[in-house]
Amino acid sequence: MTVQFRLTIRFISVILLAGVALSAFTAYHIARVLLEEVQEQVSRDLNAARAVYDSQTEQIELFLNTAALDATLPALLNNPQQAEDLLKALSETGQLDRLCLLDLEGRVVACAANVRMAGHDLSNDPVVRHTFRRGRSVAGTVLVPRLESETSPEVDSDPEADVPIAPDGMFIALAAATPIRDATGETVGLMYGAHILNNRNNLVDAIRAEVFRYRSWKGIHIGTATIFQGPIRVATNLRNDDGSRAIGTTLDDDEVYRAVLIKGDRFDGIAYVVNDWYFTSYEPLRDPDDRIIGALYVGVLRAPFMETRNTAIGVFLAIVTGVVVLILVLLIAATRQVLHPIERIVEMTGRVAGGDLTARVGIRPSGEMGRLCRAVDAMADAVAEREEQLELATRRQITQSEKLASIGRLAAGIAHEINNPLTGVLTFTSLLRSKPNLDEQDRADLDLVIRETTRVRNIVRGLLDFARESHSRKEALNINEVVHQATWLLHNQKEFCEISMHEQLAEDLPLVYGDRNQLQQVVLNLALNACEAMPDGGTLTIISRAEGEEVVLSIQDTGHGIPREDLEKIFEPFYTTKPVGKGTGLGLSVTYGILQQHGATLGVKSEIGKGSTFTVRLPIAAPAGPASPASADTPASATPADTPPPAASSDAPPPGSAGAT
Amino acid sequence: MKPETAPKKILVVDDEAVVCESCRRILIREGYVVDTCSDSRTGLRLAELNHYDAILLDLRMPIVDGVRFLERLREVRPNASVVIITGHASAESNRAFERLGICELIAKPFTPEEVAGAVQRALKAKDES
Ligand SMILES: Nc1ncnc2c1ncn2[C@@H]1O[C@H](COP(=O)(O)OP(=O)(O)O)[C@@H](O)[C@H]1O
Repeated sequence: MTVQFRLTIRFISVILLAGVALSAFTAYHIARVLLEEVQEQVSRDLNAARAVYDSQTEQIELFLNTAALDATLPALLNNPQQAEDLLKALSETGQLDRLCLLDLEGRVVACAANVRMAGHDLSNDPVVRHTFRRGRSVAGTVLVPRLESETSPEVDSDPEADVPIAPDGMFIALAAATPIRDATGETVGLMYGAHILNNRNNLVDAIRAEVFRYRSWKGIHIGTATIFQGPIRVATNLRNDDGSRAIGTTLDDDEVYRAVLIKGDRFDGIAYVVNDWYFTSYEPLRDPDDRIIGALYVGVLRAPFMETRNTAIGVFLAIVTGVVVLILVLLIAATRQVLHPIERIVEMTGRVAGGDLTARVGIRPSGEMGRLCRAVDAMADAVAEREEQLELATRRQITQSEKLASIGRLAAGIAHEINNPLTGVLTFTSLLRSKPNLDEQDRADLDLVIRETTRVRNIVRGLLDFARESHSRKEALNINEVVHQATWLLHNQKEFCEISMHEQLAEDLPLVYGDRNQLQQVVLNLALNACEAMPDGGTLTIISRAEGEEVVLSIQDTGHGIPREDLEKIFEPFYTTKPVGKGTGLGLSVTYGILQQHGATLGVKSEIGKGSTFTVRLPIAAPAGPASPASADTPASATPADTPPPAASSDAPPPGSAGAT
Repeated sequence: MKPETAPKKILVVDDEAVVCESCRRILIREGYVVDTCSDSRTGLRLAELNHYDAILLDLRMPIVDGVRFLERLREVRPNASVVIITGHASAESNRAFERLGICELIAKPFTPEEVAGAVQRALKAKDES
């Protein structure tokens, strides 16, 4: 899995999660706010409907009050025949279904001609009772019995629009009664009028017109109003599926029924009405005795609001989705931008690792990435440069050892050639010198010849030491012993009595695998050089220690030091700064050659006037390796390893000390 | 130390005349009887014919190489003291010398004292054994 993939997945999931959460939250709130708003509106609508309803009631009361002012009425109480016509005319004007005059017992004395109610006892009608009791007009909603003349089929059996339904033989009606007073102001009777609501849709339609102003959606009025008599819709503009008014249907919602018709509370909420969901508001209708006899309902179809809500949510979701997608696109682009350099770096480092040191990141994006790219390129530059230097150094080292080898061969040949004549010179000069009858001058001259010839001899021996490099006898040895032997030799040189020598040799040093004589020569050469660098005395310190897989030997002096520009030259054969006769310039090259054969390295650090430190790093012996050290050296060999060194080899002085013996 | 009784006989084999002559002069002065020869084949014949107390030998001789010469010499004169004159001592020849009973080693160029001392030591070692 790539970083890019993982990053992207993570970002995407975070953003999607946020988007989903935001959407859910907002959608929920949109719906709630919107729907609550509608519901509240509907609740207010019920109040308005109620006002319309009440004003209708008041109108009836007002009408009766006005009519009761007629001065002929008290007389007419005793003349029902005459009264009928008047009442009929009045009832038509006031759109009243019942209009009658009652005596003080509440018995109908006269009524409108179209209503045959004479002799009916209305003393139980709440409006009548309350009017008598209070002595003034009272209006309200009441149930009135159906008259025989008002034919009506049974409830539910035929919801024909023009036949009023009468549940239990009763109608729900707006009724009012007002006292009739004679000239003295004495109440002599009662005028009673009622407007039946059953199947009369003008009130509910008026409510709709007044309250909902014919708001419609897809050609249907969304506002509806209903008057219930008990649980039965007796006047409504709700429609059945077939388009007819839903008169005669019952209130099915249990919750509403219990709240409104039993407990007498208001109900506001979403309910299933007839055939759809509505925001509804119900209120009980009570008669003047406070008995619940019906209910007033207004409702607004929920569907259009749901549609609005869904549209709103839809739009919102579209916006959110759009934003999320946009963010994702930007994000992916951004990660690309970030990851592109990383990919470049990975590719580039791969190429460098594969050996192509010219590979570079190349691009320079802004910010940290740019810095990273620049740093990686700088590193690659440094690696390339280092590599180049290393190559150069290796090449130089190779030439150096090749040079040494050829010089060695050459030197060996020359040395052997020189040896023979030199032998003669030395011998015969010595013989001459030993003659007894020489004068002083001759003897001194011969001494000089002998001395100089000896010097030549030492130079030649140094050359041969230098050339003799391919045959060494290696064994596992402790470098400390070698150091001891070498310093013991130095101690005996009175030339160096001004120099104090210190050994700081680590105990338990791992063994190294090497030729004892050669290593001793190395130590001697380095120590002699050190001593010679301190003609006026100083301190020579030889330190040995183990370091990882190596034994490190340091030879430190407090001498005159080596100039920086000479540091490379000192390992070259015949390079010397010492006066003629003192140095051969072979000491360090021989040392170098020997150490190379041992897989060891030689390093030097020096400061003018303060001294120099030569450091030898020898690989430690493999534990099982040096078990048979002599085996590989020569085919003629059959001697055990512990043979003492032959006399002649210890005769040969170290090359660095040439001329000092 | 000078030989008291019969003078000791010494053979010097070296292909370089000047080396032979040097040795001869040094050893004569020390009181030895010295034969020299400058090629190994003749040297080998001389060694077969005469008894030498010590033989000085250059290892880098043409015709018969010094080491080979030594092996042949040991066949005819197993007890002779041998002093090797060498251009340069090296470890590998050292070991070969031990096997072949070499007593002493002189590195060229030498001083008269070195030669005299080496021969003396070689003869003494032989006497003791
Ligand atoms: N410890 C040292 N302090 C100062 N110079 C040194 C030291 N060792 C070596 N050198 C310098 O390196 C040169 C080469 O040394 P070397 O190869 O041993 O030859 P030689 O000692 O015969 O001159 C010396 O002539 C000297 O200038």
